[in-house]
Amino acid sequence: MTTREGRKKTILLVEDNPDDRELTRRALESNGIGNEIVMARDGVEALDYLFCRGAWADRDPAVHPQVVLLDLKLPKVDGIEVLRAIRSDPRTALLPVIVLTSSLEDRDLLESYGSGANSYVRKPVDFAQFSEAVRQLGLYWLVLNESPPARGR
Amino acid sequence: MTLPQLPRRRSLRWRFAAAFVGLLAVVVGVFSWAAYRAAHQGAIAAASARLDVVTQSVATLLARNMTSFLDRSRPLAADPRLRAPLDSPTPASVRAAETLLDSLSGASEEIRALTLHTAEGTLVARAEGTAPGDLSIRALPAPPQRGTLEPWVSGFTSHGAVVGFEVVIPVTRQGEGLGTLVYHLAMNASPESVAQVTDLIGEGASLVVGVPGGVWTNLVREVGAPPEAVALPGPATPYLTLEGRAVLGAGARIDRTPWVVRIEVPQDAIVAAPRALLGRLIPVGALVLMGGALAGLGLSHRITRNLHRLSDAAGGMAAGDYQRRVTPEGEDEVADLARAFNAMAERVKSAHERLEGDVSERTAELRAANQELEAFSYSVSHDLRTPLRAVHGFTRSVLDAPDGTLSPSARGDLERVCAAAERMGVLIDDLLALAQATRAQLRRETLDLETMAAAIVSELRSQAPRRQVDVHIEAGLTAPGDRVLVRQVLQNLLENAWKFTERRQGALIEFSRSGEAGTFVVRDNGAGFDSAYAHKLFEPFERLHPEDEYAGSGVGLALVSRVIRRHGGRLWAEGTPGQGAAFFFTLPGGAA
Repeated sequence: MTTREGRKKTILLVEDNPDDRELTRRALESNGIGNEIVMARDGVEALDYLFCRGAWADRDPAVHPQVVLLDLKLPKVDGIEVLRAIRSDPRTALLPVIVLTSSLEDRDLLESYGSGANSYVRKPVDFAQFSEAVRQLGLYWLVLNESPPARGR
Repeated sequence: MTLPQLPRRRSLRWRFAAAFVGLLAVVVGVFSWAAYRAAHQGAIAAASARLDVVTQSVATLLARNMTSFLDRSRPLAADPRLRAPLDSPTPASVRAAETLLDSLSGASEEIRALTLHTAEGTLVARAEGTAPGDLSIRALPAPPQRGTLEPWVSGFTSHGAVVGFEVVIPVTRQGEGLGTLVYHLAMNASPESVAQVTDLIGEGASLVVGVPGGVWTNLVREVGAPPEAVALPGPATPYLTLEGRAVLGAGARIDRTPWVVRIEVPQDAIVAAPRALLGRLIPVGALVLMGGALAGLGLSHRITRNLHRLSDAAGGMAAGDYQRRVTPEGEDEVADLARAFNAMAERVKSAHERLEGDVSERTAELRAANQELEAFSYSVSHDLRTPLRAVHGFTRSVLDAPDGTLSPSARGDLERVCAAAERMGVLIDDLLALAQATRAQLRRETLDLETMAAAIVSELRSQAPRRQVDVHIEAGLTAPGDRVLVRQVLQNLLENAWKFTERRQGALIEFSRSGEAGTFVVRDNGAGFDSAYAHKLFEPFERLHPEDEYAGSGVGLALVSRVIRRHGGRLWAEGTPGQGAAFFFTLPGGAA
């Protein structure tokens, strides 16, 4: 996938479970979504990447991921807190965030949308269904959807 | 809450007082009547005794007068001036007799005439008296005994305005009757005499003299005879006169005459005193009654005061004030009751506190259990599904390897692993739904079950477009309930019907009202079930069909049962193997 500048944009995948990370990666891959995938294993890593801190201190702060795939149940800082931090910072406030989780609990749905999630997708057990869900996500968020203009450029 | 005010006629306080006054009124009435009767009878008895004495006195007096008159006249029986004309009636002897008669006739104003008769009754001489009245001399009265030589008195005869009688004095010589000297007298008492009699017998009383069967007089003129039923000479008796006056009358014979004297006293005069007594008793009785009413009210107030307090306290307790107690007064049964009430109130209070403690404890336990359940569901939905997805995902990934790298049997085994993981995913989802049905808060609204069922059926049709199922949904089905949960009920029941009719030609599903309002039924003509196992239908993970025959987790009906129970409804099923099943449920609180 390419942006208007012709450069492939990254996808930030925030997921603590290595199996799920791997399955998501494979699902993206098998659907021909070749964007660079940045993995974050917990909320702290995700925020470090987004705000160019810690291990990502020397990253170009002007470059933002095309989309964030965010699990809710995370060590240290959980998904909802990450989402709120994204929405409360002017640099990332308009970033598309898709909650990708196992839960279909009402309270998770309400909290996610209430905190500004753009989409909420439940990860099915069936890999075929999961793969289909990822394909549709990629099609919508990476191809059809126009990102808001990046700030600082 | 306070107890409603009792109407007066039902209040013990008023009824008790009324009964007391009523009893008092009866006592006072009976007492007054008895006193009056006693006074009345006493007055009658006293008046009777007095009347007997007076009557006897009057009779004696009259007899004495008559006796004295007769005695005074006795010498005339042997007077030669009277004997002479009877022996030989010469003009000289007759004139001599008439001279005597003239002198006698002037002696009293009561003399109408004096006559001298021979033994045969022939008139020999006569003299006129001064008394008024008819002067004609009728046939001489018959003597009391034939040939008597004693002076005697006749009965009365009527002479116009006056009543007359005769005194007959036989004229004799040596025991032989020569003739008779007859006094023709008038019963014409002077006003002085009448006043004397009135003094004697009393004001208001009346006196009559007469001969039974003859003429009667009140000493001045003729009067009517006493009633026939009355014994003329006899003791005092109350009776009604012919004129209808109630009187007390007594009679006595007058010696030396055939006369009877009767004195009648009006009963009014006699019973005036008892009547006056009654007149005094009535206000006294009224006073006693008023006093009694006040006393009765006071007494009843005293007795019922504790009852009223009890009633107030019981009302207070009924309204939820468990601190209410009664302060009993006195040592009577009601005070005992009040003490018993206090003891009961104490127990009720402690039971209530214990109960409240229990309830809040249970509520806390329940809340904790619910929280645990919520945490459990949450972690199930997250943590259990994640490894399952890995199992499924990586197995599928291996299966996606190019052909020939896996042996057919290894491929088959891995397919089973995938299928098992998928089924476990469904199980987890169903379990979560079951937990959700238990803890979700109910939001009741009026639901359009017809539209809801139609939507579910159209989803089912779109998932299995090749199936031919005849579905009948009754129009206008509505019920109160939680939209999400009731939809799960219909979803499960219709899905079951859909599933268990899949091996049948002419599959039929029906959703309609049944029997009473608020009862619905989902009916199919599918595989049905044996009623012997009906009790297992609604238990989670219980299945009545092998899993490879009909898919499913065995959670659906358990969920239906829970939702219906949470709505306060009932769920039951009827079925016959191979012929179909019917699931009935009720959603109370609204019209079907």
